[in-house]
Amino acid sequence: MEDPTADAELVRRCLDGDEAAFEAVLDSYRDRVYALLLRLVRDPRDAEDLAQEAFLKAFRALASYDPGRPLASWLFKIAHNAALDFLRARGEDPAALDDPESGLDPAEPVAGIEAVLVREETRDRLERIVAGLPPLYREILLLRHKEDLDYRAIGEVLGLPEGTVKNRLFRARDLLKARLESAGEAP
Amino acid sequence: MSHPNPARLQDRLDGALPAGESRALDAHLSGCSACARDFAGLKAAAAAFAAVPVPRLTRAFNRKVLAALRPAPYAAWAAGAAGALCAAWTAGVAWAVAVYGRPSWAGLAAVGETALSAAAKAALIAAKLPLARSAGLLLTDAVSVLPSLLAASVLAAAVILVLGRPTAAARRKP
Repeated sequence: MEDPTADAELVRRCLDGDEAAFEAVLDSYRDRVYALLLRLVRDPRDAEDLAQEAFLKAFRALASYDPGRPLASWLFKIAHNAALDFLRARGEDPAALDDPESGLDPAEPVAGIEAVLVREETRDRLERIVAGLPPLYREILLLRHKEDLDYRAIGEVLGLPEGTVKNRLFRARDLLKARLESAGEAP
Repeated sequence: MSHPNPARLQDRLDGALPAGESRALDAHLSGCSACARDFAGLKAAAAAFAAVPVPRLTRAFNRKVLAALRPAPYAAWAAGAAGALCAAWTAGVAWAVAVYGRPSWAGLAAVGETALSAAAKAALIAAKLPLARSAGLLLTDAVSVLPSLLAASVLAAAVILVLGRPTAAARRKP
C-alpha cells in the first residue's frame, strides 16, 4: 500500500516544479493507471493515450489534491472519468452491465474452475475470459484484486456508495465464476 | 447458524466482517458443504482474476508526459506573432480611419474584440501545450479566427461607409 506521507512529499516537490518528482510519480503509478484504463477500454493504444491525458490532467490540478487521501485513488478517479468520457464519445455505454449470463445461481458447482487454473494455457485463457467481461466489471475486479482497495476506497474512485460497490463486485465475480466454469467444461 | 447469504460470503472473502462474525462464518463453512462450495467458487474467481498478468508501459511514456508538461519552446515566437498581428490590424484600422473618416464606436469595439480574442488564444496555446499539438491547434485556431476577422472587417467597412465622413483627401479623389 501507499505511504500517504511520501505521496504528500512527492506532490509538494511537484508543485515546486521538481521534474524528478513528476518522474517518480510516473514510475510509481504509470503501470497501475494504464492497467485500469486497459481494463476499461481494451485497446492498448487508447489506454496509453488516456493514461497520458490522465497524468497531464492530474499534474495540472495537483494544487487541488488532498494530501490526506491516497494519491493512487485520486489518479484512478481521474483515469476512470477520462475513460468513461472516452467510451461515451465512442458511442459505448460503460454502464451497460446487464449481461444475460450474469444471473448465475451461486450454488452452481465450481469444479471446472480449478480445472481451468491448472491448465498450461491458463494465462491466455484467463485473459480472454476477463476481457470478455463488461468494462465496469473488469475495472472493479482490478481495483479489488490487483490494487487491494477496500469497498470505501473503491467507492471513492468510482463515485459510488459502498452498497453499490458490493453489489457490482458480487455480480462481477459471479459472472467471472460462470465464465470460468463454462471454460472448464469446454473440451 | 443459518446459511449465510452470498453478500456475507463476499464480505468474508474481502475481510470486511468483524472478527467475531468471521469466526462464526468459518465454523459454519467447515460443517456445511454447500456454503463451503459457494465460498470456494468466490475465492477461485478472485484468484483467477489475480492471476491475470498486469500490462506495463515503458519509460518512454514518462518522457512523453514530461515533454507535454514543459512550456512550449516557441512561446515567445507565438506571443510575438500575436502581437504583430494585432499591430498590423490596428495599423490597418488607423489607415482606414485616416482615409475614410472615423468609424462608429460599434465598429471599433468589434475590431478590438477580434484582435484581443486572437491574441488571447495564441498566448493560451503557446503557454500550455506541447510543440506538435500546439502547432496544429494554432493553425486550426488561426483558421477559426479568420471568419471573425472578415466579419469584423465587413462590419468596420460598413460602419465607415455609412457613418464615417470622408476626409478632404478622400473627397479630392476622382
